[in-house]
Amino acid sequence: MSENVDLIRQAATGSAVAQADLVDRVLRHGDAGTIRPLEALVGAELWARMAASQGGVADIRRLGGVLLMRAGFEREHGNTDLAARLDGEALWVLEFAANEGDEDAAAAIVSAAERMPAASFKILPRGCGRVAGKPEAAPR
Amino acid sequence: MTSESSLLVPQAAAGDLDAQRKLAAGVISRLNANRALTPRQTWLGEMWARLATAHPDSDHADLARLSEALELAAQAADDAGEEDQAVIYRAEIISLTAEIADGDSPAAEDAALQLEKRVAGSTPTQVRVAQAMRRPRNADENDGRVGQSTGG
Repeated sequence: MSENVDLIRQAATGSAVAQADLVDRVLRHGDAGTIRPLEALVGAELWARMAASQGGVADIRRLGGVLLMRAGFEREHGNTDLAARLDGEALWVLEFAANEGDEDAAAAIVSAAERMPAASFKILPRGCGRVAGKPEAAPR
Repeated sequence: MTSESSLLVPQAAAGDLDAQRKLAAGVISRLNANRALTPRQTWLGEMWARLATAHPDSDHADLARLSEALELAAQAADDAGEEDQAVIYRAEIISLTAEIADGDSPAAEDAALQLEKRVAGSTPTQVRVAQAMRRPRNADENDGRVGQSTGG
């Protein structure tokens, strides 16, 4: 049985470590061209949401990063509304991580803000009073 | 993501098979209501359905749900002119249907009938691909996607 089979089974039974590992793996396959970029991003987003819902601050930052990547892809392909929504959620997720003391997330916000169109700052995702199952989180 | 989904994701992530099933069923239901499907929309349903089949407590109903998600993905591939992808999806459906038909679940008899129809309506290539698809349930040995197909 391949390593990926084991990882996926672990992910299905609740391992945040396996879910986070799968984020990185699927993105690598997207970069290598073995799967299509959008498919890799959709897959990475799903794994990242799962990992962020139960993992640590690094997993939350990882979700923010994946959302930014997906937003960039969508913007390049003319889906500007979707890109702005993804950017908005990414900013919110990264802010959550930064507020938890994650300096890399704070740096990512600054870096992302330099590249984002203004519209992205006006949009917060619907129902984003929680970051992937972290009910204590609330946008400022 | 809908607000209901955002509540279910943490449960699904924690290994709750019922939440994984609900997420798959929710996406499939929305896809069924949408007449203009694109691969971008169907991947998510496919992924949640595959995730549920990866759970050790999954059963033939999960395989049937995955088949449904794959049929939607195949339709989206057809609409996008991605015929090769559609062939792969439909071959996997045949493989899944055969697996259900081989079992002793209540769905086995229906699956056997469906299988007969599907094989009759398939090209020899599809049938060969289906036969070559071996489950390791849900596991793609080549990348981090949950699945065997090459996408949609």
